[in-house]
Formats: sequence, structure tokens, C-alpha cells
Amino acid sequence: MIVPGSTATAPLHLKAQVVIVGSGAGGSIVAERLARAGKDVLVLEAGPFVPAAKMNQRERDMMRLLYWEAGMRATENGSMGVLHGRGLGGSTVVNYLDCFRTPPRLLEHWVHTRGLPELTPEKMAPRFDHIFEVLHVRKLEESGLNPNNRKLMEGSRALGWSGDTFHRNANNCYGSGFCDLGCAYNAKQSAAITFIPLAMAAGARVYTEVRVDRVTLEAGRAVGVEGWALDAERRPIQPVTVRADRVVVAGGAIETPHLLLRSAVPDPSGQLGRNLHLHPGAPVVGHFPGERIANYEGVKQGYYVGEFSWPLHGHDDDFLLEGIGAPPGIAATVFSGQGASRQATFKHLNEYAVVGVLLRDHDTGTVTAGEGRPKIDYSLSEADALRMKAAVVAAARSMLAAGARVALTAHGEAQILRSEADFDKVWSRSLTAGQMAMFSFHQMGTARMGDRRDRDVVNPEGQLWSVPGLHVADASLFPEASGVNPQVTVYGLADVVGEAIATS
Amino acid sequence: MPSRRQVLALLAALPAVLGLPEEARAAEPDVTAGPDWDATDIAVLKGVLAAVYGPNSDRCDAVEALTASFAWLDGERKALVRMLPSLFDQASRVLVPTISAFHDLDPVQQQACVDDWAASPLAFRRQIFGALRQLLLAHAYADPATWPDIDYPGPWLGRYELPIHPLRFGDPELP
Ligand SMILES: Cc1cc2nc3c(=O)[nH]c(=O)nc-3n(C[C@H](O)[C@H](O)[C@H](O)COP(=O)(O)OP(=O)(O)OC[C@H]3O[C@@H](n4cnc5c(N)ncnc54)[C@H](O)[C@@H]3O)c2cc1C
Repeated sequence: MIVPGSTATAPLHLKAQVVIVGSGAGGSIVAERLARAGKDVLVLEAGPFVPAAKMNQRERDMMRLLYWEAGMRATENGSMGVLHGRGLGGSTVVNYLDCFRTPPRLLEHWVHTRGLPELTPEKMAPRFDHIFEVLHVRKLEESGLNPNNRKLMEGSRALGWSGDTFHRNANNCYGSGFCDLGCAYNAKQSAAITFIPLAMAAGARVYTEVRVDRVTLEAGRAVGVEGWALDAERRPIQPVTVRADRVVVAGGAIETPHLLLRSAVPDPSGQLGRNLHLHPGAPVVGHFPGERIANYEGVKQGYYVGEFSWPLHGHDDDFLLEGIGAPPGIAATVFSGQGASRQATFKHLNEYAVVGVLLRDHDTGTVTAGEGRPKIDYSLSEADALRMKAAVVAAARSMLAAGARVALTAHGEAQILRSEADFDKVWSRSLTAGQMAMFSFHQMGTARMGDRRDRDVVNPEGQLWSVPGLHVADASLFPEASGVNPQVTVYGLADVVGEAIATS
Repeated sequence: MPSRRQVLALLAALPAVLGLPEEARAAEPDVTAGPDWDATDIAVLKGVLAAVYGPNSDRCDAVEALTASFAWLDGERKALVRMLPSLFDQASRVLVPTISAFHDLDPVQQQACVDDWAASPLAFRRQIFGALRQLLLAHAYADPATWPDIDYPGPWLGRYELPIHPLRFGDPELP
């Protein structure tokens, strides 16, 4: 049974063989594997457990309940919103369910450039099989595409680009389209209702509303964690201390380095919090006058174009295009203009198809410990900005090929693109901070894994090079951006770490 | 009326007053504090909302909702967001060719001022304005009062009776 921290009436002093901080993709699979291996496992999660019956499909309530900073987190320069789930199951509760096995090209690359022999496609395959089984991953039929994703499919096919429907971790999805506000029907097979209950069935204990503020070190070894039980408004109400033989930090690629930096853990590589990849995302809108697209309804992400992806197809531009919809509050922020003219544009919300660009960023930012929050410093490098422009142009091209009357970009002043001749408007505009609405749904790389203590934060088994007993098991491990939606890669890498702990 | 500086100092001291030890303070310095925006701040937010939202902005409660969401921001970011309205108000006086602060302008002048911020060649101005705009519009369109204008039907719950699926691996809430 889950113990909510908000019910604590006295300080909590707990013991476990392994304490896991965070219950998202990474934390949940490690918990399951270790509990199954007979370890005494304790999971601490900062956010609450929100069951399906409490998901009300309203932005205001759900953003506050299910996201760090109610979804208002951003990079320091304000150029990018950074969406990160908070609650039992972490970001897997609010994600769009797209599942990619880590592409073999990327795995081979990591094996050879990072010294990670456990990551060969052959060795990872059984892990992915298990993950797909537990998450109930199935390929979406074309008949399941909503009009929004269908436009991307039609446009990209007309251009001869390769693409496909997504594999999704859904069980009888009704297609309500509120995935990013949590699934009100238990169709989404998030970690909260898959790996977490499996871990609990194997004996793991789970505390929600417990925020860990420090990893405790003694004689250079991790021996537990300290934090606070929180009330429903996230106010600290009772201190929590845990003694454990092993500490696994799985708070996601923003909160994990934040916690480790605040704990002043030794890091010979000097890379902790560095190498932050955000997969910068930007929407491009196609206007189909008179057609009801209602991009916010149906399977939100159903189709992707892999043509330009390096991990999938070896293409140097290295981006994906994905159909995407958004509830009106989020959608409103990407449409430019002010006042009556903005209203006149946004009034046609139902006629807009939206393509999301997902850039595999080659350059990086940093996470540092600010006062009471992680500071996220990130700007697009010139090289990445150039590829972002290529991606925006490709997205616009796909919409025009699908028959859109115009394609609109998310620049501060929307660029209206009617034909190829207009694409210069994109190429010629700078993408320095604040020029175009951008979002990050995927944060990666801030405690990267590899075989060199002078270059990598954790070793190939996920343990910090200089701190016995302290492990990382989340998207921080990524040696680079995955270039595809990362949840399955997170589960997979964390499983490597879990197995190493179980067998050591 | 305490000055902004006094208010900030007070907020910083709050956890100590409440008896929270060092770790809690470092983690969330003013976790109990709302934005404490004064009447001028609220007037600025409503003025910016009217200019970016357009006609009928008074139908939605975006400013009130933003004030409520504020509590969920992390430590230091609260201080940044808290300052946004007054920064915008005062910087408009200096950076936009007007002699008045934003809140003293009439609606037509406010619209011109907002347009000027939006099109500024200076990155920091676009960033301040962009942050305000995003926060306000996101809260405005999360308000059902704005949905009829965009023909958005709202949540499925209440419109369709669809059962919640049984859990495949058991309910984590149950022992
Ligand atoms: C809106 C959205 C849509 C997405 N869509 C997709 C998609 O379709 N496909 C895909 O592959 N990926 C998607 N992702 C990304 C994917 O969900 C994440 O990459 C993945 O969940 C990351 O796993 P993680 O374990 O690193 O972190 P998370 O799953 O975020 O889990 C981290 C958990 O740790 C908790 N935590 C953090 N710090 C502390 C602390 N100090 N104390 C206690 N608990 C703490 C957090 O509250 C959180 O619950 C999406 C993400 C978002 C936000």
C-alpha cells in the first residue's frame, strides 16, 4: 500500500536495503527488478499518487497536480518551457505514450563511443521485450489516427518521406486526447499502474509526497537520504530520514543532478549537471479552412516522420516530425499576435493541424542548484538552430503538401508560409532566445553513463565513479540525446542499472 | 504599506519564523508565500491580458488563476515571476516612448505598448513580455469561460460515460 507523506504526524525514520528516489520510468523498473530479486526496496516520490478517478481533464487542476511547478518551469532565458511530470509514475503519467525501442544505430554508437558493452542491440532486446510486455505496447493502426495525425501522414507520404504510426503503451484507449493531463480511464499504461504495482506485489514499499533533499554520505559512501514529508500544498511537514545500503537516484534529468549537486557528491568527471539535452520542440501549424481537425481530440500522437532522423535513418539533419495536439491553454501560447488579430487567428483552433518538431540537440545546456530550484541554462547553439530551421521548414512543407492553405510558425511574429518561396522567412530569422515558442518534453544526459571517470558521471553499471552505493537510474544516464521519444530507452538503461545492483 | 524589499525580506524570513530547519529552507525558501501583488501589479496584469487576449478579456479569470498557480512555483522562480508585473510596468516607461508607467496608459496606448514589447529587437524585452504573455494566455484559455469563442468542447468527462479500465497489475493504493 502506498503511504502518502501528507499523512505523517511524526518524523519518519526508515530503513531499507535500497532506497529509490523517484518513481518514474527509471525508478519504477529498478524497484520492480530489485524487489523481484528479494531486496528490501523503498521508493520515495515527491508527488502524489493520482488515480484515474481523480484525473478531471482540466488543465488548471491537472497541471498543478501532475507537473513540477505546475508546468510553468522554463529555461533561465525563458526561451523554452520544460515540462516534467511529478507524482507516482513521474512523466510517464503525463506522456503521450509513444514507444520507441532505442534504435540499434544509437545503441551501437553508445557501445563504441562510451564503452557500454551491455547496450548492444542483442543484449537490450530481451529487456525491451519485457518492457513492451509490461507496458502493453502495441502498434497503432492507421485507422486509429485522428485527422491531425492523418494530415502529417498524407503530407509526408506525398513528399515521399518515410514515417509510421507509433507503438503506444495503451490498453483500450478511447482517444479522449487528454494524455498530457493524465489518463482518466487507466488506458495509458504508465509506470504508476505497471512497474510500481509489480514492485509492490514483490514487496517494495512506496511513499508518495516525500521529497528527498539530500543524499547522506558517510566515509565517502552513500548510506541513505534525508528529506521531507509534504502536505498537499507541498509544504514540508515532517522530516524523513532513511538508512540504506544503496541509494538509487531516479528523479529525472533535471531533479537528479539538482539533488546530487545539493548533496555535494564527489564527481571526478566534473560533468554532473552538464550535457543537458532537451530535445527542443516547436510546433508548426497547418490551416485547413472548413475542415474539423480538432487536434486536441483522438490519439494525440499517432504518426511520426523518421526520414530526417539520424538514429533511425542516418540523416544528418537529425529531427523527427510528430503529429501533436494540445489543450487550449497550452495551444494558445504558441499562436503569436496580440489582441483582436490574435483572437481572429485562434478562433480557428478546430481547423488547425499541428506538427511537432523534435530536434535531436547535438549541443547542450546545464543544470545547477539555484536557491530552492534547479537552474536550467540552455540556448540553441548556432548549429542546432540551423537544423531547427530545417525541421520547421520540413514541417511546413508537410502541411502544405497535405493541402493546408497556409502553414504558420511559432515565431514571436508568426511566419505565414504559403509556398516554397516563403521558406526564406524561416531561414533568414534568427532563433536566439525568445524568437520562437519552444518546449522540452524530454530531458536527458545530466549524469551520463560511460567507462571513463574523467568524462562520465556514472560507470557502465550506473554507479557514481567516486561514491560507492550511489546509483543513477533515469534519463540522466543518456550519453547523448536519444533523438526518439525516450521513455523506453529510460526504462531500458535503468534496467541495466537495476540488474547490476541486483547481482552485485 | 510595506515596500517590496521589506516584503521580500519578510518572505525570506518566513520559514525561520515557522521553525523549519535549514534543509527545508534551502529547498523551498518561500513555499507558503503567494505573489503578494499589489493593486498596481494587478492592474498591469489585467492591462497586459486585455492587450494580448483582445476583446472580452474581462470574461476570464486568468489573473486570479495565475495568482493561485504561483504557489506551485519553485523557490527562487517565485521571486522572478513576482517581479514580472512591476518590471514590465516600470520598464515600459523607460523603454517604450511614453512618459507614463504602463498602468497609467489608456487601453489604446497599452495595446501600442504591448505591441512594441512583442516586436522588440532586444532579447531581454521579448523574454519578459513572452513570459507574461504565456502565463496569462495559458491561464485564460484554461478557463471554460473562453471556450465558446474557440468552439472548444472541454473535457470528455461529463460528456461521455466511459468506464475506467481495471488495472492489469492491481491497485497501488490497496494493501
Ligand atoms: C508531456 C510529456 C509528454 C511525453 N511524451 C512522451 C512520449 O510520448 N514518449 C516517450 O518516450 N517519452 C515521452 N515523454 C518523456 C518521458 O515520459 C520521460 O523521458 C521519462 O518518463 C523520464 O523518465 P525518468 O525516470 O528520467 O523521469 P520521470 O519519469 O519524470 O520520473 C522522475 C520522478 O522522480 C520524482 N522526483 C524528482 N526529484 C525527486 C526528489 N528530490 N524526491 C522525490 N522524488 C523526486 C519526480 O516527481 C518524478 O515523479 C514525455 C514527457 C512529458 C513531460
